[in-house]
Amino acid sequence: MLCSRCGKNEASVHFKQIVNNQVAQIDLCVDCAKSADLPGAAVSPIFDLLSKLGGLPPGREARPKDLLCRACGLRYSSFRETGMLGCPSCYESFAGPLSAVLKQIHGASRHGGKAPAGSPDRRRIEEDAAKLRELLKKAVAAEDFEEAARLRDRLRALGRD
Amino acid sequence: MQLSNMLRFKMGWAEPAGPSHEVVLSSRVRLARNLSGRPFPGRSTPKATAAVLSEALAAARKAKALAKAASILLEELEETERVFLVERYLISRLLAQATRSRGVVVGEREILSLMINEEDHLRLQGIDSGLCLEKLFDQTDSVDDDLSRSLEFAFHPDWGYLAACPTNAGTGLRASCLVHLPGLGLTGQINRVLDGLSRLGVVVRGLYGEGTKVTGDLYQVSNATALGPAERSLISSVSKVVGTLVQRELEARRSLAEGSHGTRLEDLVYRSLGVLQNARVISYEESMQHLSYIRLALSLGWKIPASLDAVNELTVLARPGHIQMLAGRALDAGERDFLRASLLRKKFS
Ligand SMILES: [Zn+2]
Ligand SMILES: [Zn+2]
Repeated sequence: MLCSRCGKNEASVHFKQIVNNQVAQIDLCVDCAKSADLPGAAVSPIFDLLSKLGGLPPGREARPKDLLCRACGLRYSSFRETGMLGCPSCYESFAGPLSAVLKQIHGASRHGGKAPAGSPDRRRIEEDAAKLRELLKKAVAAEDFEEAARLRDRLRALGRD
Repeated sequence: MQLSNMLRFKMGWAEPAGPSHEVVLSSRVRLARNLSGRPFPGRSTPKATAAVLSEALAAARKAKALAKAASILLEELEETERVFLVERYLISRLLAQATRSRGVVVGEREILSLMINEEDHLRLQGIDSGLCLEKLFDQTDSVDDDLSRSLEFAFHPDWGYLAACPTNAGTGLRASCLVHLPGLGLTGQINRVLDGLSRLGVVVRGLYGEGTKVTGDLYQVSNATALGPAERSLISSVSKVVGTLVQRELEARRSLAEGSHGTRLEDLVYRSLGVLQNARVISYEESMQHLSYIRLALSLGWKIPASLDAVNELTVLARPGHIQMLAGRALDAGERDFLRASLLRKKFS
């Protein structure tokens, strides 16, 4: 069997790889296997991220001026190259373009999960959940099951069901 | 700490005890956390990185579920020992490379662990047998709460937990299951099934994390996004998808074992057993393919001189770093293949 990359040498390295959620059989010669993304070599999620960044509609990002994070000295252009931010304050410093990036990656722009113990956000979630539980109890007592189901969904969305 | 001692202890997830363990080898939940007001490890100074390490270790000591955990400093380890920890799913390749002021805290039975100063300041992980993401989230959630009582995490009211890479912002959660799908592979359905998954908000990877290579019919299925839905809702989507995969795989296994197919499967399994019992030199790749068929036969209840937990363990014990740890020194590929073959012969005798 010939190498599937160069088509010249005999293939001696055989493995299966997932490409776009499909399993493909890969047969390479020793030379091509050395230069290829070798099996097991880490493929960083950053590549995926960068392709998403590249796909952002132009104009929605601050292109003319390269933003700077004063806390850590990172420039936005550097984030575009590596996909890595420098510090938590980068999220504020680059808030404009980053909100588009986050939306692009996650398809959402508002965190709906937990918050650190003792934080104001956690207290807000706990208070909301307590209120909903109270309403749920009343709805069940009144045998308003439609309302109860709706309240249960809201509790679930808070991660507190 | 002598890491070679860990060879004598069973990894908690390898015990075939969890729900649907015949298909789901293990479940894993990971939470990414960072300390507020500090640069992320990739942009930190040596001094700041060292400070995060000591604060994180102190916080971990106060977390109830990590009370009996071992703290390991990467800079005190040999290269072979770091590879060993990667293979046991306790640290990432990234952490094994940058060793200065890097650490990992490993809980009992290696179920809970905490990587310090990887891409993010903290990566908390829970891993166990079978389809058990909810249980693992409960465990990591409570350790996370304990940690957040001593450490101030970087948190944004709209964007949640802030991470070095925006793909991890929000919940910082990755929920994944390592699924064994030899039946779907042998019946030629695997691509059709995986294709259907891309629309369900999950990502499929190969055995070790980010790599795309498929080894021993093992696939990792995890959530594609981390910001928006609450943790439990992300987890229940992954659990549902994996639950469907389990059904499809079990159907495929049943059809493979029936009638005239049965003889072909029997032939495949006993040839694999023959190789594992007799080979003098064997690569990791090849041993994983044979172990995959043995695992399939064991799950169908066939009488094979091996147990499911031994086979689960071998998916890690047969790896290069573990073979070297067993030998007590670095080995070249030829020496490893020789030693791996004798290990397998012993396990299947
Ligand atoms: Zn070639
Ligand atoms: Zn910054």
